[in-house]
Amino acid sequence: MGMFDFLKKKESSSVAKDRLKVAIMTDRESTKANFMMEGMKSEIVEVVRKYMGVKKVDIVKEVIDGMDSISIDIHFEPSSH
Amino acid sequence: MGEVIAVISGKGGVGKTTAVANLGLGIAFEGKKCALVDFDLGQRNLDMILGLENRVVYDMVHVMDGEASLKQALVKSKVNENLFFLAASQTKDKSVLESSKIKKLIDDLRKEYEFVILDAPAGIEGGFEHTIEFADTAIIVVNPEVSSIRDADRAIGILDSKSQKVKDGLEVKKYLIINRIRPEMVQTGEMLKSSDIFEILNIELLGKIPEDKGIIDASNRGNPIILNNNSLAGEAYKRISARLCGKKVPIVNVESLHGDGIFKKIAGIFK
Repeated sequence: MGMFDFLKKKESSSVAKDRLKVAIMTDRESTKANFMMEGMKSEIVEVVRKYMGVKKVDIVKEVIDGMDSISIDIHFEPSSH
Repeated sequence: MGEVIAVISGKGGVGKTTAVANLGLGIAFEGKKCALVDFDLGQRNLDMILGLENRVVYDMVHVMDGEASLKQALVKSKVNENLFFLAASQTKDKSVLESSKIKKLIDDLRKEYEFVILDAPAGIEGGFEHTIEFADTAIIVVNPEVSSIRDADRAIGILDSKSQKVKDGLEVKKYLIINRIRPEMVQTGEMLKSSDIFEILNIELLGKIPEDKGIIDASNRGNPIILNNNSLAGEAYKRISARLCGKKVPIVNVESLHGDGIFKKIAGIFK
């Protein structure tokens, strides 16, 4: 270690590496969550469709009182009779 | 049955089409029959890089719609008889791509050719998914630069969820090519090292290609850089092609190729 090392800026390549690691970790989680939601939605639609007409399914992930929760809203077609 | 390789990237402009052209020629020079398919519908470019734009009569959509046979549509390379090329359509809408038609096209090609290389469109929309759907192997091309690496990781994520092989419980092979490495910048810490990049992306390294001015000249002429025996990038593509053909060729440390840059010389004086 030289005596003026503290004057040196951190190399930009190592800044890039650190920033990329964090960004990619976040990206991967959201991509994974998106695919999970897509898969879940289409399966729910399939199940509900056996019994009634489905308009759309909304899945919302939220944190309530520190607990992870998922709420599923199923909008169905009004029955004809 | 031939191997189907999709060449992908997250962001555009990283040298994907150049890689496809050079690897195709490299594989052809290894004595293997190879077909290149441009999947970048509406933005056909591979024909220019290969210098075959004047020979294209039918394109991929003509073949898929039964308007031309595969044999009629494939254009033979000017420099090697093992290499053939199928152009992207320039006019038709991307929505003409249907999985079943693509599967048939790819299955027909893999019967005839030992390697089928698909040039994916940039980005991860529409056509990208079709390119990766039936591939056995994916080659991800990145530049040592943050946006390229981040977008590549997203492309890999989509590959892992949309590939037919993965859906069938099999594995898609994934390899990384790092393109446009500037050795002097890596040495001064201004550019990410290859080891950092494959550590972040966590896929196997297939090769490293240095930045090479000759690439632009090669595209201008429609003579891929691999035909130039004095080019560092051309040499790198030869090594990668040999690896794809199963030869054991060690990875060359491209970062130290110009190892006697001015910084090293100055540092040397004080040693």
